[in-house]
Amino acid sequence: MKLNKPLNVSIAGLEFNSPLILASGILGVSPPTMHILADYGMGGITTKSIGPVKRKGYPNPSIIGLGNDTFLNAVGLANPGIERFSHEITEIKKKEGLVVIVSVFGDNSNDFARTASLAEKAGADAIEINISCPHAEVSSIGVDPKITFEYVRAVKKAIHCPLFVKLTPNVTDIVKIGMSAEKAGADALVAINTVSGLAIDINTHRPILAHGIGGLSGRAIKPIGVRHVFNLSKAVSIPIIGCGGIFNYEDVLEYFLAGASAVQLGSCLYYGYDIITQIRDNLIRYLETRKLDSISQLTGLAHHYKEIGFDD
Amino acid sequence: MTKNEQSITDKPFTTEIKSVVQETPLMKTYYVSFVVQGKIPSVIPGQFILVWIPGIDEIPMAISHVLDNGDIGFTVKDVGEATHALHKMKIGDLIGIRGPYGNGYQLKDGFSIIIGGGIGIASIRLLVQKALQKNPNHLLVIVGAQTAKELLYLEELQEILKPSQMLVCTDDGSHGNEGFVTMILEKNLLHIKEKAGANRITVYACGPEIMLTNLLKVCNTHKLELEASLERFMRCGFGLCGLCVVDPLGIKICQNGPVLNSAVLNELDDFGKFHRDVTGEKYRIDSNHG
Ligand SMILES: Cc1cc2nc3c(=O)[nH]c(=O)nc-3n(C[C@H](O)[C@H](O)[C@H](O)COP(=O)(O)OP(=O)(O)OC[C@H]3O[C@@H](n4cnc5c(N)ncnc54)[C@H](O)[C@@H]3O)c2cc1C
Ligand SMILES: Cc1cc2nc3c(=O)[nH]c(=O)nc-3n(C[C@H](O)[C@H](O)[C@H](O)COP(=O)(O)O)c2cc1C
Ligand code: FES
Repeated sequence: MKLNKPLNVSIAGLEFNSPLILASGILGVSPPTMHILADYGMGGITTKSIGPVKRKGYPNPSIIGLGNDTFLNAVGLANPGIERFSHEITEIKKKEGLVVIVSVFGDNSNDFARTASLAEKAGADAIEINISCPHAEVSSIGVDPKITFEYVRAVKKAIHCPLFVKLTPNVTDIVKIGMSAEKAGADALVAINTVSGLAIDINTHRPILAHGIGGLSGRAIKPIGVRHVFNLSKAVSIPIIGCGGIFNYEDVLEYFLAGASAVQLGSCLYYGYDIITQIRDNLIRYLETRKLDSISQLTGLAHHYKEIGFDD
Repeated sequence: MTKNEQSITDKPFTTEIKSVVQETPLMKTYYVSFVVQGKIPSVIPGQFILVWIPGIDEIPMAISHVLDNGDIGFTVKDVGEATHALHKMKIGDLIGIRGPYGNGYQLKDGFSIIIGGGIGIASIRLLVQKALQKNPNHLLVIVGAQTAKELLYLEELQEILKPSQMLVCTDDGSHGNEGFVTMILEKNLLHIKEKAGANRITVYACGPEIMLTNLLKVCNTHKLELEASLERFMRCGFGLCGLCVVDPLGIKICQNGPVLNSAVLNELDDFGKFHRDVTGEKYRIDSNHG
């Protein structure tokens, strides 16, 4: 624990013993696995997105690699439904010191609110709302500031724990959406979800994913994520959790410098659980070398450089 | 298996079916070229591929054949929508392949007992070949199926193995011994131990999960090391979706499996009891989970 100290971060009153958080939809189904991820160095975990009822998602192929540590997926929010998932949340919560974030979605704002409330009752430390999956209906929420406001407000009223809002990069102006979420009561923003994309097989002339359009994740999207975090952090005062394309400690630092207070890891788990420990240990080493007491001191430092354009 | 670099073969590459062999009434072997960007991926026995049937599904299949020219083969049992669609495909039709995935069997020194049940025989075929090359005098292959008709690769196995290297059984006694592979193994153990002498005995197996759980009991009782290949529902095949995880060790069947050894199997709460469905919900294997 002492070793971890420079990496402790606090977000919306929640204490994380590491700024590394598991991103939603990656390995987020088995409670023992969540505990193992904590042992490897995750300070928090986000479950896969859970809806009000069981949902099968899209058929396979639903997740493919495109090379260069970049992936395309259209899982379609497959999940067991909050009722059947509740005992898994309770189980995940049994790990001391691990912050449990439950990602939720629904067909309308009432569904969102009800699912979030049940997740909190089951033990969630925070709720993250997924208004941003590029290959499912929920994507229409996160592209409109008014609808975002309505949904965030509805969920905020239904829960007592902190509310994180996960944003989509597939918009003209993410800042408007982020500000709207903040105004509606969001306690933190998560940026970014996957970038809308398509891969086509040249022999069959078909899209490869069964659903067609998918969400791009992994190395290719990191600059997009860093840019969105940078712009958001100029405009909002709630903390931002950076996400997208993190594969090493340098990537984490970039997100912090752009304005993040913590980060989420997803696609990098392709390389196994060890990568978490590597990133954590390298971050500690970096801080020690620079004689920094806390990683939080780095948040937003890139903003000192005025030459960085705010707009495109 | 932790990787150092993402392989280009995580993207399905479409390739024509080169030939189809009807193995049994319900099983067919498909051969395709597996040369990706000019390279032939190397295959360890027990590894699998994800086979994309365009417009239908993508499903895991053990690699059962590797030819010198870079062609591979896999044997499909017709059990549901995707496998049925595959069974209807012909030479020249396009399917997508990605992989190879998983760890495969780690063939050890000493005496090898290689066991296949039903379609599970597809997963051990390459291992039998490898073991024959490595240590033919310390090898016993046991294959079983419900009926004689469903005994996979029977003629081929009889050709490459001596009668003393092979035992066959069927549930109904229509070929070979009547009974399950576990019973045949126990019946012959004394004899096998004599043959093995001071050599360590390792059992390698693939088949229905109930066969594997019974086998683990036999192996535990007689202090034999077991390596068994498991099946779980898969989406990604490379450790991201978490659907194939077996509890409580956080083991991903697609990456750390599908082959697990006794030490691991003995620690698993899920083995023989629980699976996860396409939504990630856990269910008892013996329940009518829809
Ligand atoms: C590592 C591994 C190797 C396999 N090797 C072979 C093989 O060599 N030959 C062979 O005939 N079969 C093999 N299978 C099983 C094969 O994948 C299933 O029979 C096939 O997916 C069934 O699909 P379906 O649509 O025809 O049937 P369905 O009716 O859809 O399903 C029948 C069964 O197959 C399972 N299944 C369906 N989709 C998947 C999936 N994406 N991942 C895992 N399981 C699935 C279902 O859970 C169900 O239990 C293997 C499975 C695994 C996990
Ligand atoms: C297979 C897969 C499934 C995902 N499922 C979800 C999901 O259910 N909910 C969600 O908010 N984000 C989901 N995401 C997006 C990730 O949480 C993350 O925002 C994105 O992958 C970018 O981070 P990365 O580059 O580190 O993977 C998923 C991503 C992948 C690759
Ligand atoms: S199939 Fe996705 S983690 Fe194994």
